[in-house]
Amino acid sequence: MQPAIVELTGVKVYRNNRLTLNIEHLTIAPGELVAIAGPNGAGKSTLLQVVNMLLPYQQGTLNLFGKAINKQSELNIARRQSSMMFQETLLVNGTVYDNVALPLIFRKYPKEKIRELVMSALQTFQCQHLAKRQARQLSGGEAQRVGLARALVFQPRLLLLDEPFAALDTASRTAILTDLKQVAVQNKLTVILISHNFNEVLTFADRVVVLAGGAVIQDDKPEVVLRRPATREVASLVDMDNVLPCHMETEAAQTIVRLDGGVIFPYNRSVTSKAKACCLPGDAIYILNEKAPSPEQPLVTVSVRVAGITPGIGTYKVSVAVDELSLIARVPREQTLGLVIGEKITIGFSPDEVQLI
Amino acid sequence: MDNIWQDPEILAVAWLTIKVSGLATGISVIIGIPLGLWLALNEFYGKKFVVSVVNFGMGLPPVVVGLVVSLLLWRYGPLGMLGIMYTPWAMILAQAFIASPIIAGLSFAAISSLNPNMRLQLLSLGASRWQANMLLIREAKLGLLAAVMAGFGGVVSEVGASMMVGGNIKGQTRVLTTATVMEVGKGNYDIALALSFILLLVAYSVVAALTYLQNRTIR
Amino acid sequence: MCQTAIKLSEVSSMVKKATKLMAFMFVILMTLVLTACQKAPEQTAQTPAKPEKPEVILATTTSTQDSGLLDVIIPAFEKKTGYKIKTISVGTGQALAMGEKGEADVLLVHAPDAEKKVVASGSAINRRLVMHNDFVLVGPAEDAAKIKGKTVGESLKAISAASIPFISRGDDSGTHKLEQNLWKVISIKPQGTGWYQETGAGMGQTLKIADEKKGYTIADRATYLAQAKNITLKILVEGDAKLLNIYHVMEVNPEKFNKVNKEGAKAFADYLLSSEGQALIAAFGKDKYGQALFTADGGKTEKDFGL
Repeated sequence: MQPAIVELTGVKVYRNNRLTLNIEHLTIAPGELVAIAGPNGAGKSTLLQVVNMLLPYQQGTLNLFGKAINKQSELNIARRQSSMMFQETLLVNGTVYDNVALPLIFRKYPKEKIRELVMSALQTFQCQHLAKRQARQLSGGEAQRVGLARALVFQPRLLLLDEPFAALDTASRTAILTDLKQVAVQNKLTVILISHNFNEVLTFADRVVVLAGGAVIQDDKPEVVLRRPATREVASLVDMDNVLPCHMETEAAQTIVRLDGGVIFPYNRSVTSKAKACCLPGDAIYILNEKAPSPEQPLVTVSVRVAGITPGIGTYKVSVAVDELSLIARVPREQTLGLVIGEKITIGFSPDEVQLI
Repeated sequence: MDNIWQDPEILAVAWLTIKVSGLATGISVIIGIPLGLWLALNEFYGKKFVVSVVNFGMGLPPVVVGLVVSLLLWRYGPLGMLGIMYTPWAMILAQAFIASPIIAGLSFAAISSLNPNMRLQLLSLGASRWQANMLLIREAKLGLLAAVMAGFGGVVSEVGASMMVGGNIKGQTRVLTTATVMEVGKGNYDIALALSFILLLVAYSVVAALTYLQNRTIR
Repeated sequence: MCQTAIKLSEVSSMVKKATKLMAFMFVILMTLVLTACQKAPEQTAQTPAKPEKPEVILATTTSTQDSGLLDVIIPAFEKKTGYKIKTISVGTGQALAMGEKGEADVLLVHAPDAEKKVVASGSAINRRLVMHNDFVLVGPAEDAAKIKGKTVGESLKAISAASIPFISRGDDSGTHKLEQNLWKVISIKPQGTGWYQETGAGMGQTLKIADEKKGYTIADRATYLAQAKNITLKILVEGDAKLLNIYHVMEVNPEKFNKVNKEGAKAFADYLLSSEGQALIAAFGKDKYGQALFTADGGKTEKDFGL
């Protein structure tokens, strides 16, 4: 079995006497596409810079490419196999060709080999027509494509991205990520991407690590984190539709959850500690009427009034309320035809979809 | 008046001015740019104090530098055994003391204004520390050339230190500035004006050449 | 001392060139004199054995330097002996201070009272009279205070009484010290009055300022003659014994300062007092101004001047 590309154990980083990073254990296998998410100041950039050996750590061990990094020589060898990109376009004065050739010039490749690799990298990201253009004259999207080409021209095994596409518009961002994912999969490249945008995470990554306060609070597949965030912070990160204050009781080995508006239901999933709130994704709420077939599972039903309807592609967002309880449901478009604001309807959801936090 | 241009003594004075100030600026570049680079890229306890000392050095009155260097180089001074008082080398030394903080301070500002992540980016692409620093210097070329121009301008135009450590000796340490002051003292305002004109010409030529270099980076 | 007509039509640069030409001619003359005994026609000059310590620092005053005399004497001396003179021309105070610190080898100044102090302190030895020139009291041709032909004491009294502008060097130079003495002798304190102005500038510049302000001033004859074509001031009082400007040469004491080039200093001082040096001094200025600027006095002492 191939050794892990990156392995951190008990790594602590202090800045100005504050603990900014505290990783108990984190392993990344070759070929994984990992996203790092978290609020501002969570330590995401710190983590990336530690992995790229740009920042020293005070405690713990870091293994890269299967080896512990202790000596300067090992550092140089390890560094040559990894690559990093920042949020700003950090191109140097000169042409696009000059920029993309930089890593190869640093490694003293011969001229013909440089030419071959540079043109191939530019082609991979569809910028070969920009080769002779001055770096200063590129648009944001073009610049980051060139940056990617430069980051990958020397065929590293690990690519670290610190929100490099945050400043691009949605279309450009999606296009670049698609191309990058294709390249990564083709070349078995391991990618660690920091992103604030959970949509980006969903499209690109196989796995997301959520950081807060320097520590890992959730590490799972994106869909899982999306539907079952571990804490309130993660819930707001994934833009969870419904985060509801709740009251937990235990009655004869059965957990009962009480929400506002008089909603009570039994909860059968495991609960670690006294939860104060619960999450419910919007698409887990169904509108119950004669038109729609009701799903099989036992549902908790609530009588509510329609408060608002927000259109969308595929699903519409319907906000409903009863007493102090407000919910957002995401329902197929057909189900909203004929719905009127103020109308009394019945909605239902399965308790299994509820996540206690 | 046109005899001035053919006067070999005046040409010798102009040539000495270029040699002395040129060499002094060269030495200051070798000291100042690495110092400015190091200050810009490193954080350490007391950095603010060091930067304030460099900035203070930028405004150091040249005549004070001249006096201090004289005290060092006088026969009975600590460096008297070098025997360079009243020679061009003393003037080069004094001018290097004047120009180095100017070049260091302005280089520090030029490199500090670069994106701090640029250095990290270059290192992560596989640059050695030396390769990264060279590229940073290239990126800051605009600001650095301005620093060199400021340093050269500062020393080619100064007269107090050059007079004190050089002595304005005919044929040995007479430069355009000290010669001008001497002619003014004698009351020969027209010769002084001619010398001033030549000084402006010398200063302008050097600065024009550097500006041309500076603009070549912007396309 | 009588005035001769001075041509005012030459451009300053040509004057400078002429002085250099003269210096050059003198050097050639000296070279020819030196080679008179040589047989081989190819040789230009007998190159003397290079002395062990060739560099000699001469501290002198700006007016001595500005007169142009040293541009004649020094090359001749260097050629003859192989020494290399570094002339540092500064204010009298600084020149004497250099002597007192042992930072110069030989001094050529013209401030007798201050010089005596330096000798008394043991910093200088072998004080010898070299030459003298004189100062003149110059002023605007209109001569509002009517001093022409009077003695220097009476003239200054008249200027003070009429409150006409008097420009002083005010810089502790030999000229300034002499001027202050003159005021002291007639018991007038001009400082602080509106008409007495101190420039802190060199002699040539001070003359120009006096010219601008239509005032009186005291200048050494050599500088005045050099500036005469550029200004409208005229010589009004001259020849008074109190206006004599006497130059002495002193060697810095090698017993007190062991780094002093004592051979070089002595060689230069001796040269000034040699018949060759004295001849150069006596002839200086004749070509340019029609009159000698200095009078060579080698061998005399101050007593000969009644001082």
